[in-house]
Amino acid sequence: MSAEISHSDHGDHDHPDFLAHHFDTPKQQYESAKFGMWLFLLTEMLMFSGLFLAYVAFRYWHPELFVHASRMLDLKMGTVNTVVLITSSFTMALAVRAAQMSNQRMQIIHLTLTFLFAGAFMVVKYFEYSHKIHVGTLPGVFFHPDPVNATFLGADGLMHNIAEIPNARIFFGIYFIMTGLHGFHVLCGMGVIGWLIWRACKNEFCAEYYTPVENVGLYWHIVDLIWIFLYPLLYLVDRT
Amino acid sequence: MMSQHENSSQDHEGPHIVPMWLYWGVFIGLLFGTTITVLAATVDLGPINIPLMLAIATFKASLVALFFMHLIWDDKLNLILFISAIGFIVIFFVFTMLDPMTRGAVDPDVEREIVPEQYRINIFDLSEEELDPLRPYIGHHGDEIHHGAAGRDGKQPGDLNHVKTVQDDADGEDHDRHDH
Repeated sequence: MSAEISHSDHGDHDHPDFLAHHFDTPKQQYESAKFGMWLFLLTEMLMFSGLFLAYVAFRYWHPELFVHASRMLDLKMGTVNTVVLITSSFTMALAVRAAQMSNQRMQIIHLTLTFLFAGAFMVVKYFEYSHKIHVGTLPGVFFHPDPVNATFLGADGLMHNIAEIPNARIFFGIYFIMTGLHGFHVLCGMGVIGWLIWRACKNEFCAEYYTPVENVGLYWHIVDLIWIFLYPLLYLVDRT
Repeated sequence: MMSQHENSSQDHEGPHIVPMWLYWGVFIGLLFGTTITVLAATVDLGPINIPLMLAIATFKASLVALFFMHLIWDDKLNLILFISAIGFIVIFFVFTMLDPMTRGAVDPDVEREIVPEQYRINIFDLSEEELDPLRPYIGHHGDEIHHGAAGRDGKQPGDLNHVKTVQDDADGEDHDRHDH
């Protein structure tokens, strides 16, 4: 009954289904949700900044370590993943645009593309990780480099084993924690993008109400933004 | 969050729709930035390499934040939030890095290391038993205090002479390890 009474308060006002009763206008609801999303994204940035700071401190202490150990990473896979993630950010922006234009078909197409690019990112990540597990370049106490296969092409044009590089386990600790936390965010992103696809199929978003698409979009762009810094810092330390 | 009529995203006319050419431009800009940063990493530019890499990454990140995340058209409150977060991250970095980067200034004898080589312990060389943080206090043989509770040097837990013993050991004959 109380719900009906509160509804009647609005009387002849235009009060659509998606507008929660504690908001006056759809715009106010949209801006509040977006503001909350931004606050969450700031905590994400601050969380990753701690890891970036660890990177800076250890690179300051062991500059040579980063120059050499970075060459153990597969530049091709890292670059492919960068392009894949940038493209997924692009398709996500187009999905938001389609929602703003109430275009259900383009929404579903772009959300699905974004989901597939995210999946492609994780597949490449899987190949990178499985190679590192195979050659034993894991963080900390799990660092047992394979004497034959854990090699990299040095700046001198010769093959070196990573075991020759002192403290190499530190680099792989940083690599796995940073890319691991980032990869976890990609997986979460796939989850929420999947949820958006499901809701878009039910045609729940339109120009008047697309807040979930917008906010997931913001999240997805932050994941891309973090990778934009991770990629050169980990893969491109020195490739001369 | 009052509406600013000149640049609000969801006024009565509906959401602000960004033209396609702008999204394509940002996308191409991001791919271009990626190409440049890979090429720059393959050339030895001396001290310029790292600032250049960070500048390109910041440029790419700005494209994403301003256009894909709509910060340039949004309520300015979101942009202020974003920039203030970056400001706090800068404070976090600067004040933390002040420690490692100025240790030499505090200690004028830069030749002297803070933890001399012979006292350093590589935790990765220790056994699981030695890594147990409670080992010096609990002991492993119950009543055999001198072997169990005191660790390798046969000293009581919390013994302040422990450091001296370490030094004596290091000065003397090499045993299996330097880090006793």
